[in-house]
Amino acid sequence: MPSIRLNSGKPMEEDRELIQRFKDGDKSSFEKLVKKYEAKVFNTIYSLIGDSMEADDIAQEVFMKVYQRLEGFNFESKFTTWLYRITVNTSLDHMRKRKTKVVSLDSEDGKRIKELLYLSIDPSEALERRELQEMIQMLLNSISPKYRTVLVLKEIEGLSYKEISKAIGCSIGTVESRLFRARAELRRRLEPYYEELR
Amino acid sequence: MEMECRRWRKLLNRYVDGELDGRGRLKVDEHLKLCGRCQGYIRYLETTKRVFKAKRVESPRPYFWTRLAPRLEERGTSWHELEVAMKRLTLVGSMVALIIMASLTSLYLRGEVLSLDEFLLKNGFSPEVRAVMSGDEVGFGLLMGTTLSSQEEGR
Repeated sequence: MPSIRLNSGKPMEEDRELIQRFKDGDKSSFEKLVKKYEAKVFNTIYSLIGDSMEADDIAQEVFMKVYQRLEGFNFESKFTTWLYRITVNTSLDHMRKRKTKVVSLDSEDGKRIKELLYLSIDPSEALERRELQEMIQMLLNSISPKYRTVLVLKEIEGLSYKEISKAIGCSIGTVESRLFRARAELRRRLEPYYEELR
Repeated sequence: MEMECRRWRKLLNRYVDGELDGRGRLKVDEHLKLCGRCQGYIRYLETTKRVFKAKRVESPRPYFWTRLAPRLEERGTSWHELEVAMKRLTLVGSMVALIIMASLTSLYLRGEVLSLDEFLLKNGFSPEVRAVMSGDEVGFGLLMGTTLSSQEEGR
């Protein structure tokens, strides 16, 4: 399934209308907002955390925060940017509390990594195979949370540097630098298994 | 040569991320024609991009909204009830104070002087109101009880 981006012209107008209706007292419009974004929020959290049950709990927590704070949302930024910010911060808080450790890849993973890197020419095959999906998540988990966040927002969510900078509240230069370091970290992990990197 | 390639790498990242303008892209294209090392780096970036693109979009557990709605209601309702209770309390308090002041003024004008406690007792005010007016410590439960009973009377 291709990645669907949160933001484009028309959905923004729809979001604005739903939020305004919520502020005017029509609480049912919140259900529409949740149904529109639940999959996207969950997928972002899952990519950051790597655990389906925990990601579901955190996604619920994110929407509870959105519900509480939506009254104060003043349309100065896109709703999706604001939603990404809450999603990322809640996930990072959770990782800090849980003291998440980065996963280290061992030689047993090597075979699957090789397969993944050389198979990735045909993504449809990788999509069908559970063990390769687990391997992709493992690669993400092998990077420190600070760098993983920008990598997920760039590669999984397809955001621009500017959108990422707004979502995580830092400069475009910092985004660029973290992304560079994330890829360097990933390269070091992959190097033993990918001949072309040597 | 390697040192020079390191300087190019940030630019190559922006190149594969589509963050360069036409001029920047042209500059990178020219460099790539001449540099095998940077060609290898670009291949690495493109490979990892393909890997992440192959990541399946995951979905939350079923009935996400059905599970969320009661939690929102629980949190939303408790705040709303407290807000209503506080508003009612303020209104009831103001009315009681107004009645007492009017009655005291009337008594004063007729020349009858009573202490506040005696006055409240004589006029049948409830123990909760007497406690509030005489400045005794009043617990949250007592306040809520007074407000809720006044709400019941109002219905």
